Amino acid sequence: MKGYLQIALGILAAIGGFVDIGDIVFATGAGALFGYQLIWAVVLSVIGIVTFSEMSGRVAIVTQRPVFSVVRQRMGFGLGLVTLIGSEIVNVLTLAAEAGGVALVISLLFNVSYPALLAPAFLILALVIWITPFEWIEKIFGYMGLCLVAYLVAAIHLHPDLGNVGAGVVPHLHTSATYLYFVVGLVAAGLMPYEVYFYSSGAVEERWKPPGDLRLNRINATLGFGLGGILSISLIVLAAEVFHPIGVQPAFLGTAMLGAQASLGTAGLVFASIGILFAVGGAAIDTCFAGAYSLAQFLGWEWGKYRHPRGAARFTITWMVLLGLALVIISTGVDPVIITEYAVIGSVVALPLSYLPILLVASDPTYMGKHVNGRISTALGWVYMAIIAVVAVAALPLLIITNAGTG
Amino acid sequence: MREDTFALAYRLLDADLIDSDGRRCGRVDDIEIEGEPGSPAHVAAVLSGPAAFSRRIPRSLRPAASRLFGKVLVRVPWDAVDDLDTVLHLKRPGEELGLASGEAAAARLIERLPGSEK
Repeated sequence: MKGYLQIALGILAAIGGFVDIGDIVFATGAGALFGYQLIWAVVLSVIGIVTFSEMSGRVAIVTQRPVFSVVRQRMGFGLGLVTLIGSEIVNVLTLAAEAGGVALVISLLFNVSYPALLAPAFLILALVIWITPFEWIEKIFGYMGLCLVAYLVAAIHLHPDLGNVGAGVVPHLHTSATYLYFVVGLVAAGLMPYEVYFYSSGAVEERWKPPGDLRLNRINATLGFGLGGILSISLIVLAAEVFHPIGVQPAFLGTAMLGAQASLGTAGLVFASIGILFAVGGAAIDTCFAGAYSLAQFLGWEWGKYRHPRGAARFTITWMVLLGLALVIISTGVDPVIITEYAVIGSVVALPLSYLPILLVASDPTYMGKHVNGRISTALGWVYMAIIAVVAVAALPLLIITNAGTG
Repeated sequence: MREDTFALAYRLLDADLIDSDGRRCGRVDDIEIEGEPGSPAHVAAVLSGPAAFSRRIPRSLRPAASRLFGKVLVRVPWDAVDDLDTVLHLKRPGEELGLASGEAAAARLIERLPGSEK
């Protein structure tokens, strides 16, 4: 019997997916550079991710087929393969950045050298994945990540001008390339495709079944990613209050942690750090699984944490290899924050090819029967396909023109 | 089956194969059709494995694909198929049909690690 409060999947998918290292970097940067002006971009991406995660969850519940199973059947083998390769590259880069972020947060908290912590951080992640059942991974990383609520408290504590915050919710464009780069970054960071790979596979791992769990899916998608959006906006507000007036551009994860300290003192710093640690750790696990889910589903392998490691052996080997690759990448000494920006911008190429098949199958009564998309979902889905297309085209030129947002 | 007729390329091609034990054991990478031109054709088998999907990628990438995934080709006769809904259900266990041989090889590797069956 599943309770109404079984929202751990949505929380982890959102805390580890929406409020991951990429979002922390882009939201804090956006607030520091442009004050409240970019809040609307977060709102835009939240509505998008809620729409598509709900759809991908519904497709998974009704057909028992998560995203990559559907990608191949609707896009064909060739285009499916392109999507797979693109998303695996982005996944492994993101995994490297998130796991590097875990080491970075620990090194800041305990004042230990960061490179020495990389191998232990990866080892801990591997052990957690090997030993811990899926339900517990969700609960530990999702609920501990909720310490990020410290950012909401910190933002409110600074008494931001609500009129200005409200004005930031209204979409408006500038001709500044840096501004546009942050719009694209915030939208892309919120819609990173690994979030739906993980979420839809998680729905199958949790054995959600129609029709009862469709409601659970709606609640998870809305509450989880809605909360993620509120936390993101809090990061913007905090950066707008603390860093914007003095002209600091936070290029380090540590700066985002200091924002909470400036508002709430040491307690704020501790909660924010724990929150970031588990959110980024959860995101590392999300991306690691997302990569293994994608390959296994594309090729029709047995997959899933609900099988013991031997019961889905190729899946198990895949996540181990992905972790190993990510360790190699991050050990070259490249800054996790830089990899994050490239991963977020690179992900927009995989965005249309991942989200289009979800929309096509969710609108297809042959697959979905009476649980097919309603008019609102379909309309929202197509509006977002258009937005995603624009973002995908604009991302790379903006990255180059603005030198990754540094002007 | 939900309907009497279905579109081969739309529904059968790329469908997931689920064996009689409920295990995932590959996808429909190709379809074997029998029949002379001018006379009725029917599905004789579904084909699964790297040697089947290699034919669907550009020629220049095929050697790399077979080095990475091997050259296995499994022919599942149509009479071993139980049902087609959102996936293709098989009447027998995957092992009996020769499917998912890579899974068994990987399992032998993984079972050397402690806690692999928990």
